[in-house]
Amino acid sequence: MSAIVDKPRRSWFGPHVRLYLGMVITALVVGLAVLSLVWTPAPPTKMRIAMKLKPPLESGLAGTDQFGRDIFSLLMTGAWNSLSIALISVLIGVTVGVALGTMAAAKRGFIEEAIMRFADVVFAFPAIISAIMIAALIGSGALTPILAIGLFNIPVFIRVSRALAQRVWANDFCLAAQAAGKGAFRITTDHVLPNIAGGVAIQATIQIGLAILVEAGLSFLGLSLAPPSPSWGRMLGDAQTYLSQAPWMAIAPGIAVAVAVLGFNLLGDGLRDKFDPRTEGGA
Amino acid sequence: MTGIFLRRLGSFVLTLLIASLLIFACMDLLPGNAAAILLGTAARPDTIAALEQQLGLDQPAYIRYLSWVAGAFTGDLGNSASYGVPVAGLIAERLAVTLPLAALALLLAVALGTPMGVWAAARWRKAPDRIASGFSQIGIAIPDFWFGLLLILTFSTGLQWFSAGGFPGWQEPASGLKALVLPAVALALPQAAILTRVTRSAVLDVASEDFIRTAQAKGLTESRILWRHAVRNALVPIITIIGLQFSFLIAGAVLVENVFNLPGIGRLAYQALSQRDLVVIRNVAMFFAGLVIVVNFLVDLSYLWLDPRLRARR
Repeated sequence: MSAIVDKPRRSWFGPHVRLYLGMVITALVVGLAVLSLVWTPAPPTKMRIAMKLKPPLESGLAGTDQFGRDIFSLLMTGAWNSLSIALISVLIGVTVGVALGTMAAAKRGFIEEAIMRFADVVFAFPAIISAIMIAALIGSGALTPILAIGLFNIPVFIRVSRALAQRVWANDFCLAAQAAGKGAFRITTDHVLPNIAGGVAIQATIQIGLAILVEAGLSFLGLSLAPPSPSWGRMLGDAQTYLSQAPWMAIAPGIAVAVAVLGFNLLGDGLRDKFDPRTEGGA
Repeated sequence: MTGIFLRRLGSFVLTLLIASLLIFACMDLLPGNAAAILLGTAARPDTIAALEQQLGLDQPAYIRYLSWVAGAFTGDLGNSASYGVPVAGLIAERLAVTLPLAALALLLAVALGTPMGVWAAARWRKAPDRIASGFSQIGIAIPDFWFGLLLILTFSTGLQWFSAGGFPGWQEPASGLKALVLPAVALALPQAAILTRVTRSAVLDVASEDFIRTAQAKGLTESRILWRHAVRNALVPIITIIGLQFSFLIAGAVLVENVFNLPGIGRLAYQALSQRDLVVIRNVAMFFAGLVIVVNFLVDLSYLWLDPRLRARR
């Protein structure tokens, strides 16, 4: 209890442990994903009915699925698909969100109010609901999760970049730039953006983890990439049918999702602790 | 005080209005024609025209929007094309599963996450803090629907304590509740993890404030300082997250209801999509968005009640 009145800033699970663990896990996931482009233990989409539903190690590292496809190879290719969708959708969120967020910080008044109200409205749509609406309009495919997750990320980055930009605007060098006759747009590009880039990148790392989680859910429902493109979520969807027969089909893809999300979260938290101790507060 | 309340009320109504316009624009204007989508590509133009008239699609857009909004107040949301019953009744029927499920999950998450976060903060940097930190990092990373599959593997196919899915209805409350236990646990895990994290850092933030030192100097007992002063003042962020979590639980139910085959509103949304039932999708989407907006508004109001300092501001 005495600990509670000490200056409680750094958590035990220290910044370095988190940062390095996050870096190792993320590098592993990204590495396997990139490797899948040139090499997988077996061709991931090749069906081998004679080999179907083999448990781990009997055929391949993680066994085979209902079509005899090698699960570990599917996981590797799935990593690439999952990461690319997550990355593109977070980039959409960053681009639109930071543009609007820094504009809100620069313009204040009515424009700021309108942008923040817009953020509230978009924030009211859980990604899965936007995905269902988008899928009703354009059908399922890679574009559905990209748009749904991208949309859901926009208000996140509006809020983060506005808060960070407001801090920069309070600095003397912004005042000096104003006095020198620079306009709000120039000050934003010359001074605000370079100063908030780090904070935005940290948030983006965490959002990539979240995007992987949401994409897995969407592809579990069949709202993402169409077969035969391997995807972690759909592997889990298929596994449900064979749950008692082949439980390994359900276990491996879930571990893949959890490990990837954990890696990006640890990396984001670690970076935040290292570079921005003011907002530290994660467990 | 009244000024702040009116301001919040105004922005609440405005947000609802914009959200409804957005949904209407997406579901009613963009895809060209709901009747054509319903009937498929092979439909003859006169059949489409007849269905259009039946659905009221021949009316101008603003009339259709206004009658939808008016219907929301009178409970007449139109008929589901695939179920052939009023949508309002359909949503109400499905909520009888989803609301208890979300409430049970929230209860579990709060019962697990809050004490764990307080415990971690009180034993900061000691073993309990490490355990809580590890739990929250892993809990946040685990997909809830996958955790549901693992629960089915363990407690249904393995131990056979619970059925693997389905819902027997509320005629027998005990068996209805039993069917919701595993899905609620699956939904609660990531939320408990988030709550642990938020509670811990909220209590730690408060712990460095002067009034904690004052309380200590007054010679209050440690548990009194922790619960009466630290936790009480950390309630604002905790309540915010709990409020947000309720809406996310309802949305997260889309996945978990599909895993456990529960006839809830999330499964309704999913089924409506596979049947291209745009009337249902539009209303369910509005329900979800409206819920988030209403909960945010209530959370906003609770700040005023919880933190007297905010009443004076602005």
